Amino acid sequence: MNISIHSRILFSAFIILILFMGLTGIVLDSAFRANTKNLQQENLRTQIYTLLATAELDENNNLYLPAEITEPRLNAVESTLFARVSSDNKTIWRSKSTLNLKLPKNEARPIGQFNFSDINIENQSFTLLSFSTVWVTEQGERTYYFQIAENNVVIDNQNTLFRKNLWFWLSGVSLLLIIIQTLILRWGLKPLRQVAESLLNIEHGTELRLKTSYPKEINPLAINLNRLLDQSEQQLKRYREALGNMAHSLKTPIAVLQGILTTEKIQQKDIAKEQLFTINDIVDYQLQRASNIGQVILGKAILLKPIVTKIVSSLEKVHKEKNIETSFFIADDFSIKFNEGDLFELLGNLIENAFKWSNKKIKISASKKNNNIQLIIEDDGPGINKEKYDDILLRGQRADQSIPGHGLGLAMVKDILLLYKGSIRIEKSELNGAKIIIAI
Amino acid sequence: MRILIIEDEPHLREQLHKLLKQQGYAVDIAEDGETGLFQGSEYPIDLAIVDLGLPKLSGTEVIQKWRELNKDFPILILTARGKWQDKVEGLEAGADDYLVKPFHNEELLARTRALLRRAVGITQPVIQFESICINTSAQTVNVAGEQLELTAYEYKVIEYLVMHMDKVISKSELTEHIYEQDFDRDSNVIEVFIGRLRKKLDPTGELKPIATLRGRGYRWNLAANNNENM
Repeated sequence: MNISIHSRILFSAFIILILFMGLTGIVLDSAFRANTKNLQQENLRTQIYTLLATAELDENNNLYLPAEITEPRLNAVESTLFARVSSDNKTIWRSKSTLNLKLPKNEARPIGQFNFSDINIENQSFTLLSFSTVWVTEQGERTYYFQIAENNVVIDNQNTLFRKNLWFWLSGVSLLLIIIQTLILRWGLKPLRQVAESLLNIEHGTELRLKTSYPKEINPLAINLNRLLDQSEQQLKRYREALGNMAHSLKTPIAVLQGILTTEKIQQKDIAKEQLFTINDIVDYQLQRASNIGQVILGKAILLKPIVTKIVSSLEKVHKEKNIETSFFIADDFSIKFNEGDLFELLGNLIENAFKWSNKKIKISASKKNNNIQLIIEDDGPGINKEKYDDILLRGQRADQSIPGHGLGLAMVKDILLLYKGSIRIEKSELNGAKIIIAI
Repeated sequence: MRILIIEDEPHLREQLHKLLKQQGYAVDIAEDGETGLFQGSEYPIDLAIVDLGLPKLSGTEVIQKWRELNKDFPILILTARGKWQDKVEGLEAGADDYLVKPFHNEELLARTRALLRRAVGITQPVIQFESICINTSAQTVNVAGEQLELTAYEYKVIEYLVMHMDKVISKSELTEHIYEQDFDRDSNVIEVFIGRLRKKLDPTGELKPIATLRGRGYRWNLAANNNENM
């Protein structure tokens, strides 16, 4: 799986945080529970002492307790605290709250010892504290049995409330920590994101090289990437230069040979001449083909209009006497990701053909839909026969033998387009001539 | 018409030299950019044929420098690499047409003639003056349908006068544009040519195609019938 660094760190931090916070919560919760239990037991013990202190002997030396005592929870009918005093299995006194509750009768307890037990009455849980004491009177000794019970609802409520608060705060703190962690990560990983953005810009052609002002962990990467870019550009340049020189050195001897042939008066010189031109065409074509760069991933976008303008103004000069009117429909900022030399070759061949064939008018338009670019070159010349549309795009085939280079030019255009995954289509123009549609 | 060729390849240079000479042009040659630049700047040439890949000074630079010096003769560039970027660069620098090596000799001559005509505003290769018809492609002159027997130099004189028909051409200018730089010049030769041409072009003496302006030179005196641009 290819998870981002950002997600990896955030995910692991999240897991650690959950574990840590969960454990903390459990420890705190059980500590609080133990504490409430202790407090409850302490409280019950205090209640017993209070009862003992309140108890008095009447005239018959019987233990006596007032119906209403100081602890209000014992006086209320609907209460959570209950008390009973018995002797010889006979209830001597019971708090008002025990009206609907029967505490278990079990007096067999060692004297003077507090005894805690958990009991269940009518599906409710209670904590019961029993205490036996011996009262010495003139009639002799008498054992009294004190019971005090508290409904566990009280401490359960406390525990529940604490737990609620505890988890609320723990969750809050966790959330805050995660947010902080995310922010720290964003800040920490920002240089990496910038590198990625820069690379994308280079790909789109809006930047030439990576900046080298990154933190020291990333800077070597940026520098090396730039070096790689330089290297590939240099290599490309060298390659093109070598090919260009080769073309140059091949062509001059051909020109010389051709000249010699022209001066000799041999019957078959026309055939020989034709052969020479064929050789030249092949060399021309193969060299051009090899030197076409094609779509480079890290290429820069170039503006279309200046190049079209240059080619058109050059051709207007060459075909001055034709007085051709050229109209452009190209936005000033229309850019295309193409190697400049390739674009010159592509447009040069197409526009030259338009100039050769047109009578008065040429129309050049460019449009962009999503990432699809369409270039259209139209003229008002004789046009191309429908049956010839396919033939004309084939290498070496010439629509008109008297104008050399026509077919070759279009074959070249087709080859360049192949490198850029583009296509070429011929249609009839509204100007009545040929309409060449290039889609890239 | 005087043509300068700048080409570093000796064989091709000689071929072009011979070809253009055969066609009756006065031809100057240079083998590198610097020499070519000097010749084009100092000699009264009518057209330059420039190879783009030249030693010392590139063809494009030579063209640029000429245009900076306000030299407005037409320039035909020769390029070995049929690269569009090179062609456009050369044309932007100030050239008027291009030819990709290797080329047919006929094509070179056709372009040369077209550029020379265009430079003086003549759009058609055949120019008609009353009964005189001059074909600049075939380099022939007909009078009343009959082709004249002309020497190469005689034709050159007619062509030069016709191509500068609104101007007075001095004897020395005529000599400079008809002969190469090292030719032994004798202005009497021109007078002889003019006299012979008058007889050939206008045997009855009614048209008077060539006027003599005493002390200044000669002028073609007829208006063309078919060239609107003149």
